[in-house]
Formats: sequence, structure tokens, C-alpha cells
Amino acid sequence: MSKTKLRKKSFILTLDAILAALALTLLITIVMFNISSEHTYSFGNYDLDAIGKDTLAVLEKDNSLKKSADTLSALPMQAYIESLPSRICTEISVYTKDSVKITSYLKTGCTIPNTGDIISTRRVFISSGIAYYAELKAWYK
Amino acid sequence: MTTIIWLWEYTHERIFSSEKTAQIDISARIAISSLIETQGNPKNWSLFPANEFTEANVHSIGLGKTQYLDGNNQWSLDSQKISRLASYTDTNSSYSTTKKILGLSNPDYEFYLAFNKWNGSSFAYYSSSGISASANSTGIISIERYALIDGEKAIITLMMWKK
Repeated sequence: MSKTKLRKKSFILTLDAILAALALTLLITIVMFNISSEHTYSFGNYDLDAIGKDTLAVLEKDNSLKKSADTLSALPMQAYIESLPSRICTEISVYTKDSVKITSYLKTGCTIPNTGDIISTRRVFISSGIAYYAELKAWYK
Repeated sequence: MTTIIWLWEYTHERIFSSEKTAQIDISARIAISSLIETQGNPKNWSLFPANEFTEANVHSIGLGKTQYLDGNNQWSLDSQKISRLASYTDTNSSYSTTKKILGLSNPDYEFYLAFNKWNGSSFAYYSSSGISASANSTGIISIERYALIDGEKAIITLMMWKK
């Protein structure tokens, strides 16, 4: 009786092993895609906040806010608001210290969205000895 | 296994690139805030002759007439400081010094600062500092802030771009 030994090494790929390998690859792909997507930085709200603060400061310093409060008109602020970047929408309003709105201006071509981020910035100013505050709402088109 | 290694490398590269861009972006935002909201340290840095405009003598550059939250002139920029900043960036060594003081010392990026002033109907060129990007430049980061120059509205744009 002769004994033959199988000396060749090999491995068997079964269907379930192939499916398991494919599932693992797919899982790793999804995880890595999600991780890399999460690492996209956005300074959108920071930019809106900075533009809001800058705009109100500039309009106060060049007396546009004061003129608007004195004349009960948004006209002194309009040209500057319209010159802001086209991708940004703004609405500026001037209130008395008792929160009564005396004038308001919405940038041309903009509507206030129902959803999404709207950044609101306020600045207090004095005109003819009376305190007012201006509020600027900003959002992306 | 090859696919997994490739995916790992690709993801790592994407995250690394994103982190690097974010760092440059944050540095640029800090620099432009310092420029329009402070008068610099020391506040008379613009009076220094070119050979004294060094990192040892100038700790920060600001273009404001007064300190942030100190008086009535925050966001009001000093036109003399703007013209001095332009003159401090017209040679390689002074440009490099200005870049370092602004905190934009990343060697892979250059900076360009533009001032556009309101002329009654639109913003027109007023002054600039640094090296402007070309049409082929990549990795451009552009940040805009608003202030006053000589009592008139102005847009200040800081651009960072890859060499």
C-alpha cells in the first residue's frame, strides 16, 4: 500500500469569503469617504458675522446710521448695502431704544429665507442725544 | 488589501490638505483682523525707517488710527500706514519681514493685500501690498473686510496663494 502525501499548498476561495471581502472593502470605503468629507472647513458664518460688524461700524462712522435715524429713511445706507458681495444678502433696520423699527432696507434681489443660517449683528449709536440701535441680518443667497 | 492601502493614502492626503488650507485661512483671518481693528504694536511702526522695520522692533502691524474698542475711530484706517505698508513690501527682504510679522510665514504661500475705496458709485483701486497672484496661481484664499479710509468706505482684501 503506497501512501501519497499532498505537498502542494493552496487556499480555497469560497463564495462567502469573497462576499465578506467585498463587504469589508465597501465598509472601509464608506468610512474613509465620510471621514474625509467631515474635514472640509467652512468659515461661512464667521464671514457673515465679520461683514455684519464691519458694515455697521462703517455705516456708523460715516454717519449713515445717524442720517437714517434723523430722516427716518434708509436712503443713506442703500448704496453701501447694494455694494456688498453679490453672494451675500442683507437686511438692515434701525430701531429706537424701545425697539420700534423706524426704517429698514433689504438688498435688491434678496428675500429673507425661512430656513438656513441668518447671522444677526447689532450696534448701538446716538443721534441728537437719542439712543438707537441698528440690526443687520446677513445670509447667503 | 491594495485597495485599502490606496484608500488610506487618499483619505490621509485629503485630510492633510484640508487641515493645511484651514490653517492658512485662519492665519489670514487673524492677520486681516489685526490690520483693520488695531493700530499695531508699537503704534508708531509706520514711522520706522526701512532698516528698523524688523521682527524685533515691530511686534504686530495694524492700520487703525486707534486701538480696537478704544475711542471712536476703530475701523478708521490711517492712509499713511497703508502707504508705508506698501513701501515695506516692495523688496524681497522687507516683503519677507512683513509676511512674518503678519503671521503669514508659511513658505508655500504668498500674500497680496488690496485696498479699494468707495468713489461714490463703486469701489476703486486705492493701494496694494505684497505679490499679486497670476492667472495660473492655485490654492487662492481670499478674505474681504470693510473699513474706512480717510472717512470713506473701503474694502480690504487679503489674498493668500500658492507659489
